[in-house]
Amino acid sequence: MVNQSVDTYEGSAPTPRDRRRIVDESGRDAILFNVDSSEANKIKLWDLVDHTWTGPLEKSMAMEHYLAKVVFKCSCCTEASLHEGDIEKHLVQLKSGYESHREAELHQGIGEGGQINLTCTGCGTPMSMRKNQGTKHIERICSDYDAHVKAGTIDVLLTHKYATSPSVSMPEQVTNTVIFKGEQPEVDRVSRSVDDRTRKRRRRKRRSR
Amino acid sequence: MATGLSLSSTSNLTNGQRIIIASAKEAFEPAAPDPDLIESERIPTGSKQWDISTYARLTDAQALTEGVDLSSVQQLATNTLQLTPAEHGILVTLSNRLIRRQGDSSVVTVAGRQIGSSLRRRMAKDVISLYDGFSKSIVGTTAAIDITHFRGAVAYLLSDNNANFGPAPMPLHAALHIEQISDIIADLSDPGTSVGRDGYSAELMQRWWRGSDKLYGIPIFHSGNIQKDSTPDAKGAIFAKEALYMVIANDSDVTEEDDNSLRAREYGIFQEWAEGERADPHGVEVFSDVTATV
Repeated sequence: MVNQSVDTYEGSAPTPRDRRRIVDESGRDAILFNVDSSEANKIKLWDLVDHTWTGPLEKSMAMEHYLAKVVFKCSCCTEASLHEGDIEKHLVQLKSGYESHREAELHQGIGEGGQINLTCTGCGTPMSMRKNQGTKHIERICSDYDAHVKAGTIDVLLTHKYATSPSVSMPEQVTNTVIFKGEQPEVDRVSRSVDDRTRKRRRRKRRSR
Repeated sequence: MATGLSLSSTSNLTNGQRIIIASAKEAFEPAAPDPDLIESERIPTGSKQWDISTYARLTDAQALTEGVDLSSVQQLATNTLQLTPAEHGILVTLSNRLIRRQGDSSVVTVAGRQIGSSLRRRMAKDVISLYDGFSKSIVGTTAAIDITHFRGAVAYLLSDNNANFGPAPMPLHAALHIEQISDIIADLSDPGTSVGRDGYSAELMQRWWRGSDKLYGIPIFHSGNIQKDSTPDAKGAIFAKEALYMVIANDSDVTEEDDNSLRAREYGIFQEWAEGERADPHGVEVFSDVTATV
């Protein structure tokens, strides 16, 4: 802007008569007009996967291309993919991630040049201390897993990626259903292993009399 | 007569004191590299639309048996992107009196620079809107990007996942919010990570990310017009250059017109373009936390 205090009028280009009126009313010396004719031809779409609005998209492109987009989606989280089978892989990854991280902790060591470094003992990834990255990394893997275990039954949905608004319900189809069973709690597992242990019967020594 | 000490603000003495008006500064325009990161075509005069077709790949050739006719015939198929350029522009009307009076700067020059920047910003924002359209998304809300996400995204793009488009061709580009870049720098330069005090890590500690700097072979650009939402998260992208297309109908058309009855002069800049997504599997949206570090 030429001057921050100058009023801005947006819309189609006004007629000379309107411009004179605007100049007279504003009492200012400079007027800025935005005449972007493409703006009226753009719409925002609601992203059904991450639940956010898109940026303004050209209307015909939005209607013909973006509204027609379908993705495979996990019914429990925002994981989505263009490719069949990816959601099943996502569930396998969640499970294997949890198995390697359920007892993971951040190992603090002395690295090159005497610097302190943090490593996740679950996957060996070096972690930044910034934004509590290491703790979040472990917590996220475990909480994602827990959320899926709580859901129990996970549907792989073939669904539209976009809608014109959050209130519009788009058709979706369940292509696969996965029973996502969690592991038994640690306490139970340990006690079961104790119970299951085969006990040797003690032989009584016969006393030879 | 008044008595007492005479101060600089006493009575009408300020009338004799000069005010120096410095040359006016302009708001700094953020980097808008996005239109240069995607494929761009120029539509010739006399045409109204640009269609870009992509042939899908055929299935694998079959092993044959001598004397047995190959009966199944493969058919060619295309995906088509149609782009029809639309007009974009901005107009500034300066009164003749303003042009005469303004002493701290040449308002005509300032207006010219500002409308040029405005048009470029519009073009960059149109491209940024396309980043959200990629079906594959990494990181997720409230989580910060790290280099593992980046490495995974590059591997995803280079994987042959899609019969219609195949793996993403080089070059790949990344356009990110500055806090996303900051998270990557933290991973690469934090003394707690695997990188040491030497080499790239040390360089990043001394300077900052530059436009040409690469991670896993992919140049990352600071896209100054990517907005953060209220969470705050932002949406950048890693994509093949050919994944997105821009079609431009003309050079920017600069106009100047006198309006004598208004005693004003009108300056405008106009350009026609359209942008679109050619290959969804050739891009990954980077949707991540951009909470400021300080």
